[in-house]
Amino acid sequence: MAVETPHTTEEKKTLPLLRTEELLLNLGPQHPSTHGVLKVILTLEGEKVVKSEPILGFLHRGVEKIAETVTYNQFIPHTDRLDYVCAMYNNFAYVRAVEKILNISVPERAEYLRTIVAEVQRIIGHLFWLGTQALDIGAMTVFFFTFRDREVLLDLFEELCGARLTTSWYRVGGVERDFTQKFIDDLSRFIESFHTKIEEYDTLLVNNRIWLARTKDIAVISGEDAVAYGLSGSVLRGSGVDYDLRKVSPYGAYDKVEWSVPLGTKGDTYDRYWVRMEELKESTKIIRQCLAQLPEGEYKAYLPQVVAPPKERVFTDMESMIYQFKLYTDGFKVPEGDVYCGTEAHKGELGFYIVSQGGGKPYRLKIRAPSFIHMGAFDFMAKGYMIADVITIFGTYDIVMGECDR
Amino acid sequence: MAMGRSLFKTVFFSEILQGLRLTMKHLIKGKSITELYPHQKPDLPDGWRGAIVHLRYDDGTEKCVGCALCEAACPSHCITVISAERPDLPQKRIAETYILDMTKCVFCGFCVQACPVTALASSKEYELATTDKRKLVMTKDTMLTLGDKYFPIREKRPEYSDEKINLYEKLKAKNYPYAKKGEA
Ligand code: SF4
Ligand code: SF4
Repeated sequence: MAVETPHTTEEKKTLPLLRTEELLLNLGPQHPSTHGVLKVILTLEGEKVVKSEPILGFLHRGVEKIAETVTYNQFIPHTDRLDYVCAMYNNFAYVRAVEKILNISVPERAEYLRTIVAEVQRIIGHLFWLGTQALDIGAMTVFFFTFRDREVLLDLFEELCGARLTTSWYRVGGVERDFTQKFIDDLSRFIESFHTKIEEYDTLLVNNRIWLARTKDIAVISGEDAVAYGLSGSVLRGSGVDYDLRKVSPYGAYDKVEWSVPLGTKGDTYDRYWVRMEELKESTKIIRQCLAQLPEGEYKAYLPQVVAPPKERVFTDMESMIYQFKLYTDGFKVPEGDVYCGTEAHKGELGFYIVSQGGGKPYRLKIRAPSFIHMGAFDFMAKGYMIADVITIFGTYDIVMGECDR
Repeated sequence: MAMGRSLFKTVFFSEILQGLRLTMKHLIKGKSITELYPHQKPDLPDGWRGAIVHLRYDDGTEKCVGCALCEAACPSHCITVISAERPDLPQKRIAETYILDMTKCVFCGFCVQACPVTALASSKEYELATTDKRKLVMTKDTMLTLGDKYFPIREKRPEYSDEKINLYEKLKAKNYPYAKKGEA
């Protein structure tokens, strides 16, 4: 059927002048602000996002499958590569899960060392997040300032465990090396001067009208929705839900020190920023108290079936030598059963679910990565906002693809 | 009054000026925090985990006894050990072939912790980039040469003596604390 062309001007007026339709746009996977290799298919109506569909899996390395082929101890370096900016937390969450299934506890000093380093890692993670989020929005100076301070802490990690990012410092039953005096001194010095650094970030951001315009009332998610989507960590607390695993089911030395959980009200990007800035201050509080209370003692449990015996014993004692060989060749035997253990990483709840059929290797290991769960709410949070806000929404989750795709 | 002040702040971009003042302060007063890397080498702490090297005893013999425990401990399966008897001392063993594939190594240091005779060590060698990938497959000889470079002080070759027995007794008396069972 031939289309009739309108003749009169009256007829022309009733027709739309422009042909409008939805536009499909691929954002990523090589976009610098997607924090890794993430692709999002955006359906746009003008500048507005109608639908967004994250495509995951570009960084999939089969970490969960690798876990089935190596012993429990050998998997620790593999966890470093999950969330590669905050390796200590992955180590911590993993060894906690293994300790839970083995039903062992670690010496008190080790608990304190673990808590201190976990909080240092939280500061590093939040600094990294703040720098990149500000960079995404266009405030470049903040990035330099946060990376300057992050560098100091990474140097401390270098002193502690010999590596900056791939730390592998936590061990089942304790930690690998004790703190040196230099580490404690440097850390105390950093903690004492950290509030001046936070003031610097605040000077650049808190009243900055561009920052406020780009973060206030952007990507709002109510507490109810946040819970329904399974969000956790600062994203959940930004919506005002008081849920922090460090308080709900305390581990490490968190129940022995005074600290509070900052909560947002509105659940927008600004609230999540505010929560993270407050958490930086809380972390310094926790570290300061832990350093003051740091008890003497062993930093590794003496449990030769599970933990490698001290080196000096291996050289002198036949039994320890045998344990050493058994442990490194077969790994330790884990009783049959399954266990889930969640740890409050700085991104959210990082959980490890281990199924064991007895023996030295896990039968199945599942990682509950907060970045992955947060991506599930991406469509919900991006709907109705401008295309430029999509970038801030990536940032506000603090997403790392290494952990998301595993 | 308060409104006038906020209007003043809005019109004159006071928060932007504050930010600029901060960055200018760092530009003028602050000291440089970056390192000019290839010209200025970083100061690495002891215990830094770099390339894995082999060590020797003070008389120049290699420490490794070819037990292949490092091979078993390595999470990325990059070590291959084939052990054999020493031709001059048939009751002792030695690694006849020792290959460490640096392209796979993740520098976790597990092999160093596993070795029962401390024959391995993490060196501070980190400039491993090369145009020939085959150079990264280290043999025992290259690892020994690297070890000589980074660990010039060598341990004395141990003799079985009473001293060792004394050390063992001392350690036993120290009573290592046992982990409590039943709490996690
Ligand atoms: S450092 Fe780790 S990955 Fe490298 S050879 Fe030793 S055990 Fe293997
Ligand atoms: S380096 Fe150590 S662990 Fe490896 S084969 Fe030699 S003695 Fe055994």
